[in-house]
Amino acid sequence: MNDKKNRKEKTQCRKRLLPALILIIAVLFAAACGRGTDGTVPGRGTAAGKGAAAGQGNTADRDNAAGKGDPSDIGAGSPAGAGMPREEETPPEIPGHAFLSAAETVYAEHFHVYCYEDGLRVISVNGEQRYLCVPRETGVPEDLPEDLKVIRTPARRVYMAASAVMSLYDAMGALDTVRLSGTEESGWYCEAAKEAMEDGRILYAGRYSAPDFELLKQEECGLALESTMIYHTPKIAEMIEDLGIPVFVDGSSAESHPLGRTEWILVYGVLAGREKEAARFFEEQRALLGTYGSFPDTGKTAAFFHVTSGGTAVVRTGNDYISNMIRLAGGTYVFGDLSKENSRSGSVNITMEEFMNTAADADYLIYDAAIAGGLSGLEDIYAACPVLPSFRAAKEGHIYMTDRQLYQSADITARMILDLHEMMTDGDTDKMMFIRKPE
Amino acid sequence: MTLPEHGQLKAPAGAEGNGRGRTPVPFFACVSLTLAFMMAFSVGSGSVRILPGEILRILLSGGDGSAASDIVLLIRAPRVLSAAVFGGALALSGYLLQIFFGNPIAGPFVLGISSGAKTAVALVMIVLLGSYRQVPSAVLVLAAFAGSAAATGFIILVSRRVRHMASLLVAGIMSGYLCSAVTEFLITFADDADIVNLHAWSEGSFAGMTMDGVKTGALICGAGFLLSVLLAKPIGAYQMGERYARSVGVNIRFFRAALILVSGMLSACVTAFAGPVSFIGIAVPFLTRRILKTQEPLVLIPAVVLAGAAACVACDLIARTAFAPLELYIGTVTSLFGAPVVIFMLVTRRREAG
Repeated sequence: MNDKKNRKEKTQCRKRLLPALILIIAVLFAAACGRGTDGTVPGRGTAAGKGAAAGQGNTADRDNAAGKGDPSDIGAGSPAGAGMPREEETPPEIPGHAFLSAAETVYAEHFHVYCYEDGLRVISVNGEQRYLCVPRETGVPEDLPEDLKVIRTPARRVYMAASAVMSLYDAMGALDTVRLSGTEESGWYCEAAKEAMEDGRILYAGRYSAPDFELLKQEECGLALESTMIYHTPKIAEMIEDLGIPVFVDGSSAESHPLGRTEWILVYGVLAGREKEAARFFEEQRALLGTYGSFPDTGKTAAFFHVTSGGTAVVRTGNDYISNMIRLAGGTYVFGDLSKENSRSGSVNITMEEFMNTAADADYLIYDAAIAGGLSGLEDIYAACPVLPSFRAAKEGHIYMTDRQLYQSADITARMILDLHEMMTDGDTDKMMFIRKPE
Repeated sequence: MTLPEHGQLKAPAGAEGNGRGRTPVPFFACVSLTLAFMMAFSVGSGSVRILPGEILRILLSGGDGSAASDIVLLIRAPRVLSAAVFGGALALSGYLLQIFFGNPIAGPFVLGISSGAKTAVALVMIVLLGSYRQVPSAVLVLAAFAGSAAATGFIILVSRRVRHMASLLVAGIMSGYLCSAVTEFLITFADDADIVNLHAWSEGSFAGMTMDGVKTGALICGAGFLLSVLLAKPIGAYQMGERYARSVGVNIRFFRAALILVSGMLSACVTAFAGPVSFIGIAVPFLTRRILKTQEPLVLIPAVVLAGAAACVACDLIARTAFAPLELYIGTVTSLFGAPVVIFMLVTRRREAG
């Protein structure tokens, strides 16, 4: 009897477990479908997802995020990135202030600026986050739409936790409006920011995920400028807002055109009350791209990559802003067909085999030392990627590496394109600002 | 890990069976004073200097909207209170599990509770944030709670089938591995930012705690404390051996499920609000028993709660002030300072025994 009972219980148990197992598998499958890579590497058609599965993130990126900025700042840039490109949207109604015009953007796809009477502006990011910028001398309108966050402009005593934005502030001469930094002095490659911290004009106020709330309050912080990393720690953003400090999340990393990131200076011009300076700077960069940027096809191919401590290659996706820079510089990015849907990052992990298969014949290899860190010369690069000497670019002496300041220089991306063009035409390496030939 | 039969916890040196050891009054007085001092010191410490008189005035008046008032009432007070509430809850959760397994080094996360929470948080961070970009903090809290509760529920289900503690422990560890595997699977498709933030979450932090969060946490943890007190009598009998407990009318199956449920509820609550805070749940009950040299649940339950609260407030104070404005993860501090203390006590215990 007992045996029968036990057998019956076991059968029932199995029956209960089966749906649970099916559910787990279904959830995993759905998750994988939702987040997986769908790209194919040219020439092979192998899903990059397989390569991605080999990588478990990489230590260098984590280190970078911990101290030297954060991954979303670091060249993250697929158009699907921090948001889909904006769609047609209607400007919100602001009681008592008539809508005047919408500022046209040239390259940027992820923001709108709407102008209203009395100098009021609405900044719309991806049509989801909307900020009402009200000049200090004007009263804040009542009965505003609930989703509108009010920022008094010019925003003073800013807490800068989006490291890529600092260079834009510097470019429009608004560094004096920044009082607190989410990056330590040693983490800045923007010289002006470093100097300001040395002089005590800018204070370190803790990283984005654990800011010194007391310091923010004590220093009467007027605005917290965050990168999209803050979306992972929503309670921190909510706490800052509870303290009466508006939080603005930088969405420039989602732009796929290199100058789209630079164009975000127009947004920061509104926030810092330097609209004219911002517009002037952006026009200069456009002109620079007009002068140098329309390069004819050089017929050269290039790969931009780094290797994790686990031996996985990390390459830029085809629609990333760095891939686009290579194209604008007259080259062809060898991983041009690689894409990663719904990713906030513009990079993807692939197996070393896949990397070799695609990049071995590339004319130029650019090692992303700005992310990988700790690499100073060719020997270090070969140590990180032992198969590299057999690559065509290595044999021809066409290996380059990025400079540490690359990802904090959103203001001069046109200059980076020039560097890449110099590289692909075997130009003067001394002129290069962001990449160099390792010794 | 050797498990005494029937979950019987070996009495610490000096304690006699289920009898009372040292008189607990000095311990309670000392720990209560330490807790009060640590809380006062913690509310008085920070990067902004606010005089004690000013802090007292703010606390008594309920705030006047000044910067100092906001710092004390919106930043420091919720943080210190949450460290105290959740520290006590973690220690109590660990104590209940140590009773359950009859093992002095069992901790609240040994049954895969934190792994369950981490999996749920990973789902939100990697899958949900990928689609919606922005989610309120309540979603993360609920996800962590749901993940912990699911892991606890699984263990309760297994405990109905498995008689041996060792088998249940293995089931808990396996459940932890399964959850970790799911998390790692999700991480495969994650962005670097997701990985960095998931790692940060799994180290625990009391940063950004609000008074609403403290109230909710206190409500759940308070309920857990009351249920533990109600279980004190069966705990006492259970410590004498399963056979003895049965002979005095304890429904073992129900009792074991209740122990896991209460312990799981407490650690799930802490994990939901602050992330997995390691070590407090293992070390504090162990040290408290060592100091008090008693097995009496009605003494140990409030004792571990007070000691856990004091330890957590102290660790949080170190975490936020040692390298200010850079903040250490709470898990880093609890392990860094707690582990040597336990090792020291173990070594001195050996010497005493020798």
